Amino acid sequence: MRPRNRGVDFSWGGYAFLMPNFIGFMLFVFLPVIASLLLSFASWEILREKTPTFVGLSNFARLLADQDFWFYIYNTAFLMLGIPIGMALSLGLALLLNKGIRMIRLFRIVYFLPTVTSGIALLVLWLWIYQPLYGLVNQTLARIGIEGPDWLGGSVSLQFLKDWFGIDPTCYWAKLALMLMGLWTGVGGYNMILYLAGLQGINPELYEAAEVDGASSWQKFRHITWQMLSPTTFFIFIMSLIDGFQGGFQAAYVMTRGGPAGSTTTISFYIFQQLYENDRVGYASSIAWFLFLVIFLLTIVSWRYGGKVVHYD
Amino acid sequence: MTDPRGRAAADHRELRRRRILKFLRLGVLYVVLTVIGLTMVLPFLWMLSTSLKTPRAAVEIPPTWIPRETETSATYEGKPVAAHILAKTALVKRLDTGQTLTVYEQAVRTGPPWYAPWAAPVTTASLPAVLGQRGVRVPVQVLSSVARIRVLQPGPDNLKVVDVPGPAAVTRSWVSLKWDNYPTTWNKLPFGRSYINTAIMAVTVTIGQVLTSSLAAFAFARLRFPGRDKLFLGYLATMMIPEAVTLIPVYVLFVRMPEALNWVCTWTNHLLGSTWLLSWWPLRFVENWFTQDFYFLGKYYVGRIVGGNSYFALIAPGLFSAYGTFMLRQFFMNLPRELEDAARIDGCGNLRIYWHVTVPLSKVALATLATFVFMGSWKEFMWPLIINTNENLLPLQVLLQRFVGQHGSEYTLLMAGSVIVLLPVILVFFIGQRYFVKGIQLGGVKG
Repeated sequence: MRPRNRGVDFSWGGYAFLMPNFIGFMLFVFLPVIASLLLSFASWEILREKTPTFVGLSNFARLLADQDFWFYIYNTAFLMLGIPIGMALSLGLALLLNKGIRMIRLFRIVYFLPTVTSGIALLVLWLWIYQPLYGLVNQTLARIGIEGPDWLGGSVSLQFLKDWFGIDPTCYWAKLALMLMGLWTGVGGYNMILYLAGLQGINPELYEAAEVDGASSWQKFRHITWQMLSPTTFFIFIMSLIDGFQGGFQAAYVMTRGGPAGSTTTISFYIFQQLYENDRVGYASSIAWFLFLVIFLLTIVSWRYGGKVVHYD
Repeated sequence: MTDPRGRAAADHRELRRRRILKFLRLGVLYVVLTVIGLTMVLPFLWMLSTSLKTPRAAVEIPPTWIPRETETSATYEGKPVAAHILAKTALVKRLDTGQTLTVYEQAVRTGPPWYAPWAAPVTTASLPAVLGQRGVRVPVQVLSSVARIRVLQPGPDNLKVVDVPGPAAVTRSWVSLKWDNYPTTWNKLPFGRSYINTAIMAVTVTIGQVLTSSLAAFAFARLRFPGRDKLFLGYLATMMIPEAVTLIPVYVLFVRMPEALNWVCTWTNHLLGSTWLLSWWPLRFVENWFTQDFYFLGKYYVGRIVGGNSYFALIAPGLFSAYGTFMLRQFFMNLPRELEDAARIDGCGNLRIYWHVTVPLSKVALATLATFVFMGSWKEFMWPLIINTNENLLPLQVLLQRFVGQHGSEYTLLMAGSVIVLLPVILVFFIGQRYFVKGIQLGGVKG
């Protein structure tokens, strides 16, 4: 008889330990994923119709032809431009905090405050801060002699675009406003703490060696800090990508209702609208699956190509 | 030849120069960090400040940080009347050119020059900018001042706009904190009930998730069973799935839960009813129970408890998470095995090892996860919004959003509401802030 390769602590009890979590996992993750895949091939207005009707690929066909949908993809991508900016700022902040200053804990708490309190209350606060007449932003701008725009509802027509290219896109301030708010909320948050942990993990001997060789501080940053932080950067980037594609729901729902003119509607808000306001379960599922595929592909691609530039020691 | 004493002095000077430079650089660093810190804190102070203002003080220009109330009165035709100052102008004489002109009183300021706060105060006025020129501030002498007021006194003069001498119109302002905003807000919407709902939700989800995650993490980290690592990979992969993908079918499930239960019950009833079992006469007594009550059981009783508008629907999806399992597994992997082995030799089963060895050893990690989960479920918004239409089960976040919808322009009340909602979060954060840093590093760096 072949000796079975089981360790001393082999036990079927492992399944028992796993069971509570696994049941939840099946009920709320695994089965729903399959169910939503099935639903994406169906048409179902759940509050009116008793059962779904199979419609084949027509949901996806409609999706590809849906002008709004592509506009909302553009919105989501535009808002995601905040990710690299936020990462750079987080890294900068972590570098400043890592200079051996005192009261680092106090600073860390203060910087973390917006992240930890994020939620509807903060959105309400920013609604007030962006208030065109009395809000903090425009009042501060007024003090230095600038008339601030209506951040959440106003638009601006860029004259040079009209002059040079003959196009007249209306640029809404709301996107910029939401991006600024996102930066304020996220800059001192998770990413900064991850970067700080990464910085503290770098061996100081590397810097000493570089100093002996006469490296400038930029060179030290470029060739030591940046290299040693690349796993952290990579991790943060992928996580932000996954979050970014799903983001924007709360802000759109509470602050702008997706407006003005749909300019702050992101994919997740569109899914919500289709599911909850238009009662189109099948179509919402197909959008969700499209989103899933995009995220999946992007993650795989960045894993492939990012893996090469990331330095592990 | 080099003079050793001179070189020592030069070295000393160089050293001192460096020390001063370092000191300066550190000072700049602190200033920059403090400025960034202020940008993080000021919006919160602004929120607190607005929540203590009267509606009129909230829209004052320029805004004040400390809530103040202002009251204007003027002497008009020898009687004091309540008034609203439209504009105050001053007739001034420029001391440099001798020219006499009228400017708004806001432009006139008396005080020492900004570059020499100790010097004697001078009166200056910033002159209106002429086209193509910047406005300038010049020393002036005030000759007289005039206030244009609108009389607010009821009576024949009501709303009359008149000019009175400047000193006759007085604006009095004093610090006044309007604590009344808080009870007003609290009573406008069922905040109390909502607090209880959110607390029930957050506490149950926290306990449940920490329990299920730690059990699963223990299995993944310490026990061996077929397919363990594949399962774990599967768990990891689910972190990539967007919330929306799983949310839609779960929404459908909960919306249709009473019908589904009813369907199950009815079919059970049919199946049982058609069997010979029920034709056995003693069971005829319970036939009624099957035909009637089973139907209602699904639709009305069980459905009420686990269907769409129920605590169950709010809580259940939050009880399990791949993230918590992952985080705790990373932590359990690093725990020393010796203690467990000793316990095993002493005859402890897995459950006792888990409860008496692993859990006490990883209190910090569990507290970390608990803090995260608590914060997360306190802030949960989309799920309760979709699944719950029952006014009595609204969590705080959804309630606050409704408050915005109903009192969108009463910013003082909105800010008071936000403070009410944020207070527990900030408290938990200050208590558990050290766990936060640990948790982020634990869940992040190894990913």
